[in-house]
Amino acid sequence: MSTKPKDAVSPPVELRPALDEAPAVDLAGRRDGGDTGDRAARRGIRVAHLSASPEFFAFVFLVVICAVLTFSRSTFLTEYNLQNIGRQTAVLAVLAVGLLYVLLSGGIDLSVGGQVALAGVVAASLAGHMPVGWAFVAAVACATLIGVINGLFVGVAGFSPIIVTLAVGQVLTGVALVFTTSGPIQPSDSHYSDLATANLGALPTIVVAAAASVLVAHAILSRTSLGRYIYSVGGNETAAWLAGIPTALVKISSYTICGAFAGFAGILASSRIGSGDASVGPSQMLEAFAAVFLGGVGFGTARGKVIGVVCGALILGVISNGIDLFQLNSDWQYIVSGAMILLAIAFQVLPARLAARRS
Amino acid sequence: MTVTGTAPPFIEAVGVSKHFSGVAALSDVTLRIGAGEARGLVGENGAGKSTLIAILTGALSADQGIVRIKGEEAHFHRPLDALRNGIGTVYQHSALVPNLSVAQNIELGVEVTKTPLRLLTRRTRPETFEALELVGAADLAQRTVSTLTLAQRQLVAIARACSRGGRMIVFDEPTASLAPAESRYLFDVIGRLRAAGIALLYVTHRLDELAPVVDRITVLRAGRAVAECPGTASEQELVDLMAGHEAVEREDEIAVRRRSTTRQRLGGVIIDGSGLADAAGTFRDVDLTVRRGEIVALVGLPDSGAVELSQVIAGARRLGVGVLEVNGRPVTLRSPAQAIGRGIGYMAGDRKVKGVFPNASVRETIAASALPRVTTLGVIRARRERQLVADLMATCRVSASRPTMSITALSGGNQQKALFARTLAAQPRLIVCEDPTAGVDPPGRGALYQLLFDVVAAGAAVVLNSSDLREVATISDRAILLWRGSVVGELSGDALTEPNLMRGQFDQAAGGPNPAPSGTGSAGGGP
Repeated sequence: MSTKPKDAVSPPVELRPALDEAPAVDLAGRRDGGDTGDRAARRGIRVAHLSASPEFFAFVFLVVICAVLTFSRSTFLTEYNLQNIGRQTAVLAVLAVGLLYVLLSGGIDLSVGGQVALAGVVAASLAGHMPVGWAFVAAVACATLIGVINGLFVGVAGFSPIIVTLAVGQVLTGVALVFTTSGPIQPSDSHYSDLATANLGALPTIVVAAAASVLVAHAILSRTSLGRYIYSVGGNETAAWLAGIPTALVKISSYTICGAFAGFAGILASSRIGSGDASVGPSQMLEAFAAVFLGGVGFGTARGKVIGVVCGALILGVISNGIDLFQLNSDWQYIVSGAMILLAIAFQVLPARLAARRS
Repeated sequence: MTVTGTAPPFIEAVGVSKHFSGVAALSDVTLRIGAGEARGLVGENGAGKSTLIAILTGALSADQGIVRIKGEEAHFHRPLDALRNGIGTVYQHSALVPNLSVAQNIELGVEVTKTPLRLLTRRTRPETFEALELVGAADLAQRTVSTLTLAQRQLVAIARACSRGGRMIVFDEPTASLAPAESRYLFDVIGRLRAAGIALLYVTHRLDELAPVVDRITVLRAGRAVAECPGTASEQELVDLMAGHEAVEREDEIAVRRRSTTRQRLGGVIIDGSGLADAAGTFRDVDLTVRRGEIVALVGLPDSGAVELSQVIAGARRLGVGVLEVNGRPVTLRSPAQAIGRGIGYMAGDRKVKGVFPNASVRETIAASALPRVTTLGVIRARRERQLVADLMATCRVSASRPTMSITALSGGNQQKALFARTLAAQPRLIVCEDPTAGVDPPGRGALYQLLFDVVAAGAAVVLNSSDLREVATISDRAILLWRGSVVGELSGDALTEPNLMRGQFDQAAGGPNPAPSGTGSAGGGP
């Protein structure tokens, strides 16, 4: 048995080289064929694949809504209005991306509303006593810690995620409300709202911050082993454990990341309204769930991508903006976004159903 | 259409075929069972027994062919259609609602089909008692199902099938988890059902229990009904029919050829366990040695502890008592991850539940256990991953049009090969595999066997756990027999044959005084 140092991959045990030898030729031949011959065919497959993905539907939805608004309202496609949509969507997108992590790992987090509320109240309370930046960091750390606790309850103690996070969320919302019994906390630092109001060139700072965090989230999910493990645990936890994946750690990580994003969403929201208000949490949470499902994320199927969730958040942001532009009562927002979710799930489920029936 | 002169059989399936993604599971099968007739149905794993049952009970619909009930064509689109025609099923693990009482379980669904909104009466219906009396379990009526033994649950399931005008009952491996005395009682009940004019289809792997129970036996092989024999047919006759002569000879040849090389292959000891027992006590006081270069099978009925023992070795179950040494060092394995760290790979049985990530691609599946090998600081290096997976796909001959396609789109055999590749990816020195070829077609099975042979030829070891005894006889070097948690014998060399394995498994079950046959030597008896 010869030991051939093949690549930088860890030192081969005795088993590998012997197995490698015979098929190596076959392998090379196959790869050549793949690269030269049917590249066009593969591109065709990829396009077909793309158009069937729920993210693509979400994107098309978004484009259609934007097109309709562009043609019907001259004020839609203006710099001012687009910045407005960006500011409105930033908080939502960050929160929804955090939720995505937990849903992909097979869990659910109903405490993100409470985390948003708590982070805002903590940041606003601390802002007078330390630089605003540090107050924000402390608030995000606070929410991240809550995420760790959720993760320990679910991943280590084995409690039901829906019950645990509902309870934790109630406690957090309660704490935030107790802190703000005499009304929202007005931070004594005048720079508190800078994050939400300042611009970097043509882009609002808040949009840049949200985009950066969303990109990080995307990179973790698509490029790291943690991301891969999250999908695996959500897809089949037993199989993941048997395959040697540290499932408890993966769950703790996903709740922790969710907490960090909820905390970040919390300070962005708090900075936008310029105060620490406990009441922003719950409504933000429901909207974030809506964005996630609009973005094609399945519940309990561990399928979904950051790009889809961002599209989902943008759809909600644009709809809300459109309702403003048509000067409708903002309560219509709920009806329209609910209907959109139903439509989105119909688009995801029905083609598969029809295909199954045909075969 | 009625046959002149005689009454039509109760159920008649004519020319039934069924394909799954292009592969024929059943081709042109014809089966007739009269009222009061008990019919045995036997065949190897994958011969089409489950598919045929599913068609007769409405769980699947046939691609071709017709099913007639008392001479009239019937179309079953769902299990309820078969139930309404009087066809009930009793499975190995009965589908009862555990938190309801026996009587409530038997009546479940009846009220729904009649008047959906009528209030349920607290009184048990007389029909329910009658059905329970037929199986001799009237005293169980008010017990909660979760408090019953497996055997009692099966009686309840039978009563349930009879209570709603059942004219035919399909038994799917009813004795697989029963003790001998319980099985004998079940056979009495079956006799009573026949006397009551109920048709029976009895599916089993235990050929020895057919003779007293059934009138005739239908043998399936590779999706075809190859024979219909009298119930008194000998086990040997049936085994030959199930396997086909050539197949048996070919596999015997493989077995002999392989075992002639066992001695050359054997290397150092990988696993050395002494006094092993798991926390639940499903097996006790087991000593086990596995050496490099050999395939060791752990053989036993579901309650023998064989599966649990292999799970302990794979880190998927905690060791209660005893010392487990891996490569000479005592270890405590708390998870499969730790076992992988010690060079032990695990390919669990039941790939849907324990193997496949339904949301993953072929590449993601294969790389799952070996990501540390292709990552830098947690970031996956795409090129290294592609290379690793391409190598493994070639080694394991996984045929997928693209590595990015969904794992669930592959055939069963290819999924299994991909899972084998995933196990290999972590570079194990010992592979524990459970039912590696369940639901895999014959060519795929051969390919998987070859993979296992390659692995042991390269100096690794395999612990095999398979309910397919012919597979055990064909590919393993040594078989360790377990009965109710204890090792009762070992077979190797020429003594390692399917009939001996079966006897080793069932002689104990029949309560025979003789211990299982002993092997012809510690390893490699060879000719």
